Amino acid sequence: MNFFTHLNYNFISISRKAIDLVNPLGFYLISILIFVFFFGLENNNLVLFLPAIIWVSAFLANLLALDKLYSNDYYSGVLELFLIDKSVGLSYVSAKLVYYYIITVIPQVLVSFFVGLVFNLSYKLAFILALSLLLGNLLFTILGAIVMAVLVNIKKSNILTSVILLPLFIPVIIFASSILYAASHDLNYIGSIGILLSLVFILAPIAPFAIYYALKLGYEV
Amino acid sequence: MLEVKDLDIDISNKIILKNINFSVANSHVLQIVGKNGIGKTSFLKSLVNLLNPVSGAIFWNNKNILTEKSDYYSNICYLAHKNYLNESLTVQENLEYFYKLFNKDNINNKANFALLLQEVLNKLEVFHKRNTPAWKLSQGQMRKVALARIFLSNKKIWILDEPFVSLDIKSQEIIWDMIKTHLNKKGLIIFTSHQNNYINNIKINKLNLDNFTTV
Repeated sequence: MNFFTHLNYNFISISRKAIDLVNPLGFYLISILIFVFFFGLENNNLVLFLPAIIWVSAFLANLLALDKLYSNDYYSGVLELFLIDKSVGLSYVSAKLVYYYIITVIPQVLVSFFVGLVFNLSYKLAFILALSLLLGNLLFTILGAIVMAVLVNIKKSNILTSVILLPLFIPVIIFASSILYAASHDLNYIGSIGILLSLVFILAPIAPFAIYYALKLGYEV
Repeated sequence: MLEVKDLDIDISNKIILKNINFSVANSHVLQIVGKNGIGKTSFLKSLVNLLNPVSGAIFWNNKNILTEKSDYYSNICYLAHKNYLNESLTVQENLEYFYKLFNKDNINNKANFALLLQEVLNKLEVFHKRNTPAWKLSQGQMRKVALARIFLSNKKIWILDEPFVSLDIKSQEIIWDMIKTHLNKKGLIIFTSHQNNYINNIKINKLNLDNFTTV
């Protein structure tokens, strides 16, 4: 029940701060367009580069959005209140993960599918690209939420976040790119999807505990 | 009864308070006093699971809270320096949110909650602000809403860090009235404050942390 209570009030809260919703998505779209215009619309290789462009843009947009994950609750003190009771704290961090995924990642995935089609990706490749983002960004959300919890009490931690998060994210990028490579060359990509899925299944159950204790540690230091 | 035995508290691996011993019975109030920076807030945080004491033990109804965590933590309500308000949510939404999280027994009784909310907000003279987003409130009104969260709860132990900050004299008297009601229901209160202007008929014990400092 607490999980849905947190989720519900997070959605009410974001509905009044539309800028927090629009900002990462706008950044994501602009970033894609800048890359596309840089390569040139007439460039025949654009279809080859587009998945990488979308992935890099998604990564940068997520870095921007992650910064706000706990910061409002941290500075208002609400976060401290939730950490007093472990069950409330665990439901809070779990709800935050789901909330972030719904308001940041899902819109990006939908946009990436249509952007792919607009710039001449085949339906199949646009779908696989969206699928790879869906899984890859789920891992990014989990890893990012853990890193942000560790850095919650550090002001202006943006650079530190990317320095810590990039190496953790390299395996995800490797498997995501192998999915896209295999899909674009009509090879089997199920194995790579399976590896990303298994990483999700390994990390998802332990993430709420890791985040909860990292946040608590932030208050004790 | 809440009992603390030989509690040592550290910050950044440096012990700041040593050998704190006290007990507070139900229907009693304990005021924590001490000079600025002595560790009053840290001490309160150690009572609410936000700071792990280096050593010592805390007993709630003669049970060590390390072994009976859930019973203790389901009985405490904590007010910190910050008001713990989500600034995008209205006063009513903030209070509903916390009530749903921390008062699981009453979660389904919406009618009761609405009545209770009206009563508490009326007493604190902020009922007319119930649909106002928290960011539009003055500091005093925010403090009142933060205190409303405590008054709405059905917890036995109230731990309050500077509850009277930003409040005018009349509001402070209202708070003391509500404190008195809580004490009549066998609740107990631990609070920090530098003020000494209390309602005469509430007996307050004091714990001076200057006597336990290692700095």
